[in-house]
Amino acid sequence: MTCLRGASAIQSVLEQVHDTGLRAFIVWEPVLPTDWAAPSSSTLSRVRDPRAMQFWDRGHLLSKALGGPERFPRSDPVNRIQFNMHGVIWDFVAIFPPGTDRPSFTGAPVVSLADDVHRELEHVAGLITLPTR
Amino acid sequence: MKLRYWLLIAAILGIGAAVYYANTGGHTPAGQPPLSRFDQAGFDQQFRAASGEARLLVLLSPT
Repeated sequence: MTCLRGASAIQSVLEQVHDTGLRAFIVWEPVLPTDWAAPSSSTLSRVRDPRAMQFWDRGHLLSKALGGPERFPRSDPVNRIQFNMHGVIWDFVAIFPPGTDRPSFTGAPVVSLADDVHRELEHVAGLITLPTR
Repeated sequence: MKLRYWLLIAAILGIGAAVYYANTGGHTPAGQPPLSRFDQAGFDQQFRAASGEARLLVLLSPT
C-alpha cells in the first residue's frame, strides 16, 4: 500500500515540475504475495504524467542490474534508505542528473521522500516549478 | 462424463485467462506509451536515449 501512495506522491511531484526536460521511468515489480499480476489500469493511472513510461518487471531484472539492496546500504548517508528491502530493491526512487548515469539521490520508501525528490529535481535540472497551493 | 469434460474446459479457459491477465496488465494513461514488459536491453536503450534530461527512476510494488 505504501507503494501505491508512493506512486501518487510521484505524480504530485511531477505536477509541480512542468519542464519537459524530465523523464520518469516507473518500474512495477512483484514483491508482496498479492503481486501475482501485472499492474492494473487503476494502478497505472496513479502516475498519469505524459513524461512517464511504465514497465512490468516480473523477474526483478532491474533490481538485479542495479546490484540489489546491498548496493544501497542504510548506513550510507548518501542513500535515504529507511527500511530493509530484503532481497529486492523496491519502493525506491533514484534521480539521475542530465549527462550522467550516476544517481544524485536515492531513497526509500518513496512516499516519505516526495519533498526531497521535488527539491532534488529542482537542483539537478534547474526545473521551473509551479507555486504549491 | 460430459460434466467433467466441461469442467476441464472451463478450468483450462480460467487458467488461460489468469495467465493472460497476470502478464498483460492494464492500460497506461493517455499520452504514455503502453505498459512494457521489462527487458534490460530495451530499458537501457530508452534510459540512455533520455540522458540529456533529468531522469527519475522509481521501483514499486503494484499492490
